[in-house]
Amino acid sequence: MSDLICLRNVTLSDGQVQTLWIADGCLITPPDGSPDARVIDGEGGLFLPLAIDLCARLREPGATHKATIASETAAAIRAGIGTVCLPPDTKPVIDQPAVVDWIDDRGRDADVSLKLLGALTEGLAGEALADLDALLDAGCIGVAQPRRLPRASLLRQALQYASGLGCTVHLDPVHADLAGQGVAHAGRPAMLAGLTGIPASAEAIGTAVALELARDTGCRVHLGRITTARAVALIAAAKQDGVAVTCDVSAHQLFLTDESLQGLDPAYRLDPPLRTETDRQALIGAVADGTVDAICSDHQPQDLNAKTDPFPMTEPGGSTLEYLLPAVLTLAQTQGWSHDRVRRLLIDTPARILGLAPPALSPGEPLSGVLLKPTSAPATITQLRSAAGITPFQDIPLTWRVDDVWRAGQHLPCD
Amino acid sequence: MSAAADIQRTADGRLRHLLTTEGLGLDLITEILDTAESFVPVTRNDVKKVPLLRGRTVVNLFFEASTRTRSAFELAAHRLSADVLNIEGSSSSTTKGETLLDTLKTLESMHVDMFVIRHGQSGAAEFFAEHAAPGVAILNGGDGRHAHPTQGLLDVFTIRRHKPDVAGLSVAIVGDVLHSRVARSDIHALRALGVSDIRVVGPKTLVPPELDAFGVSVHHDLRSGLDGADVVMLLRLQRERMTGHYLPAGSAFHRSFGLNERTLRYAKPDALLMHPGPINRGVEIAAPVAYGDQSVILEQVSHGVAIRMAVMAMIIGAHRS
Repeated sequence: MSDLICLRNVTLSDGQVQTLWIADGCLITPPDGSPDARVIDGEGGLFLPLAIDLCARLREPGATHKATIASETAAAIRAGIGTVCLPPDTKPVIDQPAVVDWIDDRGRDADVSLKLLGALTEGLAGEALADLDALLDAGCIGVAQPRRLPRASLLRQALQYASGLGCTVHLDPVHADLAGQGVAHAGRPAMLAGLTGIPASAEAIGTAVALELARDTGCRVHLGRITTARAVALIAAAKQDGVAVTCDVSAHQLFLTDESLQGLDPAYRLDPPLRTETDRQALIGAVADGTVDAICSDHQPQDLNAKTDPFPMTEPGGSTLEYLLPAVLTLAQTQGWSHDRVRRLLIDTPARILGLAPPALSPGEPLSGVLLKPTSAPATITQLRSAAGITPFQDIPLTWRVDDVWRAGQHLPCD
Repeated sequence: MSAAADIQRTADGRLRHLLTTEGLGLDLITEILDTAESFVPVTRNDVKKVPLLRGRTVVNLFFEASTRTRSAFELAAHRLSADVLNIEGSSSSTTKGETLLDTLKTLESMHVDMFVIRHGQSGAAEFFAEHAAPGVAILNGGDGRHAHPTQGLLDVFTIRRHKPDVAGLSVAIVGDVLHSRVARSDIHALRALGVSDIRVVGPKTLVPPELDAFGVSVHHDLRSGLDGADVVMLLRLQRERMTGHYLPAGSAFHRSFGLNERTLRYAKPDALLMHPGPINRGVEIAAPVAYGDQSVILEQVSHGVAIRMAVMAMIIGAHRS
């Protein structure tokens, strides 16, 4: 007797409303007659393949008191995320094959697929190239220099070398010197609170440097966690010129601005920092016009200790993984974005950026997908599965929730 | 309004902590200034003591160097008959890795009534207030660039003693406003007292345009900034900022923004000249005007004790009831 599930009247990303039949975890063609099946009402719900998160830190190895691969992947899968791309700034840094092997081993039984970015420079110190060939051979999906750009001469050579390897270089385009010791966007709220600012020009100049070097070297570059209107404009122009660049934004940057700094709540101490309303609108516009290719969680879980200090002394970041899909769908609803666009932002384009085959809902294969439902009223998500509960989404009402997840044929209810 | 402004008042609007001059409002600031006025004679008596804080313990917890602020708080507490414990950051257990929260809780467990905190990070006083036990008050002795409320209060106290119609005054604040917690506290206090003409004056590196968020006018020219001003408040130019990124080397600042007998004349003839100290002679101010007829700099120091006595007495009064 097979386990038969009838997922009734779900909407697919192309707008079609269908009833999906799942037998023993596999999608099947609709059976004849009225077989005995467990019915899940999908009316009004959206069914998508599992999402690909382009940037999430799981804190392992190195900071397992904050979170672990096990805790965060368990949270990710029930948030409808099937693949997570890890930046290399773990401790130790992912700059040697042994670290890649160790994380692969730790993630072997995880509910999501982990894709690793190797360090562009040894120890991410920005002084010497890491052994990129060995890192790629060990299974890294690309290489990255997170947080701040290295100096331009090294970056140029790094991009030249990486282009020869055919890999994508992931950069957070922030000019290190200009960002300095800033803890917030250099704007009026930071001025009022007496906080050291990171000017928008730190990102604009970082973006310009990265784009020109990508143009110069022909290297494929992915710019992550863009926050400013100026960076968006520069990227749009470079794309028009044919520069091989893609970019993403984090979901929380599409909801929050530096006005949130007023209460000095460490939940809003983020890196990159929250920017202005003008920047937020520019980011939303750039998602709509295709300049921004993907939306990621930029999950940076922090424990209570890291956030229990005066604002500038706290560590940046928050738990955002579980908000990614509900947040993007909420925004899609208010902005009039199609579900097809949502699928591209969260699934198809991230897959292309990482060089993966886009996930599909294929009959006969073990099903991996997520059912999302609109909520009856806007509501904040307060119960997190992540080991870290501090989140910049704490006061943001969302209008979608994750209802059910299938992973490789296994049904994971998410209530 | 900031969280600090919210949590420093009790439900019935009295002073619970003093974290910032933002949000204190005209009534509470006036009450503080009037109370300070009543303490001025005490500070000039032969016996400079009143028993309002007898049996209470005040801890001065200073993580940054300070002479006048710490001395004024200590004297104020002594003159209110409190027991006073002075702890400097360099000798506190935070140097051994203890967190600020643990330092607070450790000292609190010795049944302290009030902490005066000075810390280099903005938001530090608010952090202490958020975590303080119900009967424990936090006074901000200066946190990062954010606030130095007792300095702001003693400044408006000094102004009011000379020019009682404070609301109608034009006030120019000159110098390193960007890094100044004093300027921020002065601006909030002046605005609460109804002052609408507040100018911030200095080079763009130290007086950036975003300062208009405070509801002040921004001037990069000393003459226009001081034009017709009733009060000129100078800020200390920190030595580490005199060269390098913020200012050209040499005497550039004094040449363009230094106050001397000639430039002081841009302001009204009876303008008050103020400075929170310590002064850098020949940098932000020329020696002859620092202690000239228009200077009230030493009065500011003197009033610092009365203001701190007033704040401590009002907070203990609110706690007692």
